[in-house]
Amino acid sequence: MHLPDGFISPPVAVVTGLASVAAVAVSLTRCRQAYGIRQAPVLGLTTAFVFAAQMVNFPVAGGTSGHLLGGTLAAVVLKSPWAGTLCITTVLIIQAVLFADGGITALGANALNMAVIGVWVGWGLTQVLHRILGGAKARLPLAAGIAAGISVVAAAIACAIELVLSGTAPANLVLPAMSGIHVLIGIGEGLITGGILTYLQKTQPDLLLKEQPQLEKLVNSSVEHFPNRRRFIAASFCMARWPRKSGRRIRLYSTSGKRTHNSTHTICGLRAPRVGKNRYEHHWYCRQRSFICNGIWNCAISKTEKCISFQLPCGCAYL
Amino acid sequence: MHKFSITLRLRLSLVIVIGTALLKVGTWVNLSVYGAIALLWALWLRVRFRPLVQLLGAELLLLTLMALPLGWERASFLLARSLVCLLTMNSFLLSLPPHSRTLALKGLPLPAPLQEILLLATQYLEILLSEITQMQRAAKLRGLGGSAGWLRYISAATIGSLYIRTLHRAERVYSAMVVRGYQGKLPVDTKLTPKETIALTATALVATAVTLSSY
Repeated sequence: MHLPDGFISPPVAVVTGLASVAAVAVSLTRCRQAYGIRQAPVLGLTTAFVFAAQMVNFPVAGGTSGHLLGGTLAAVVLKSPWAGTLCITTVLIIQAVLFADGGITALGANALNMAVIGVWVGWGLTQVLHRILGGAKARLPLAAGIAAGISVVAAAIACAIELVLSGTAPANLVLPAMSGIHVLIGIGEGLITGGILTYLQKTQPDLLLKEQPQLEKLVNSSVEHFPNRRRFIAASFCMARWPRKSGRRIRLYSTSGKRTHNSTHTICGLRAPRVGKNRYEHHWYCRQRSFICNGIWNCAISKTEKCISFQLPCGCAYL
Repeated sequence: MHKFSITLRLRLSLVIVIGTALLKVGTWVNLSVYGAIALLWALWLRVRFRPLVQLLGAELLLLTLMALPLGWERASFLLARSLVCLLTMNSFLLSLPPHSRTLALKGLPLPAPLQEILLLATQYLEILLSEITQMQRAAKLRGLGGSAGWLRYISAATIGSLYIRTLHRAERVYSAMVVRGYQGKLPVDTKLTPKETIALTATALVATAVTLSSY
């Protein structure tokens, strides 16, 4: 589906380019809130992962082969279609610039097909299907798998339309050819996406779960109890179910109760892999203005799975 | 090795590619001008012939399958135009020293947050590849292989475990980067010197003239 240079006309390249630039600009603005310094590795890694996954081809039919597009997968794993759009756009830039896969002038068209249409159709359908299927967590991979398959066909149809509008190929030739082969690729995409999400859900459930609103309230109420800690109070919350293999995600909050990812004062993050019975190693980093402190902190966890508080050198308190 | 910086080489390559791709279909004279420029570019970059031909051959084969149903006249021009673009980009890519892909991406005129994701992604690719190598070795030692090897690589367990393993390693790498003062920007100077700016402007002007004259 990667359109090469010279296969689309200048007007189509310009229009699709402008549409993609607008989509990426909006995505960057939206992601700036959600993806601060803490989430940057996840976004970068997912991009690298989708890039690598796109290199693995599977046989389709008649000697042709297909590969994962990964738009829906990226959006579901990152829990944001905006981030998914950025992720796939980045993959396409790397492919075009560093691997000559997909044209430079066709970058806008490719981004529109795969990073915008592919991701948003996949994400939208995942949400709709997940609700139709009952909204249970276990149904998410199934919903995402079906949505991923359909999103590939939608992206392929968009690609075919661009080729028709460019005058490169007649509609009666390119539309059936593109959609036909991509139905088969979509089946592969759906199976892989559903399978990966099932695996991730079983082995790393915190990766796909959203924070629960009632826990957010708990955090905010706990913050209100400690308004006068030095500069900031960092409150943690326990996940409803402790993940089996990995640590839990802990957010740090400022006294106002707002998330501090992009606060002008502090950006904090914690990750807690288990290092022993009731002991979790806390990899943390915290930025306060120009001051960055990093390190590993051992924290004891009580039987009720509540963390014992400690103070970070930068002034953040962990309750 | 090369007098020009990686940033300039990338931008010059992009100018040639964009100019070529925007040529009007059927303007063989203009395309031959770009072809000559691309050949000179490849020679100037001292690209090794064999890997370049291998890359071009594989890519052109796919493009031929795509273009041939459009009729010989049209397909031949599209393929020749794509060949010039591929020759230019692949020459640039093969001239890159090892581990300098990140530096090349730094030279792209992109917004800072997008560049940060690009840089992190290219850094994590190395991690991902090393994890893939480890998993491949482990699979070989366990006697997993055969003609349906592709099935193992697209299995959910393989891809999922690869993601989780790499995620854990990536977080450690990122923490180490932050400890060393990383704040979303690589300390690399990608600004062009005045001479380089002149060279880039001149090339852009020539490319614009050649492309516009095709219409």
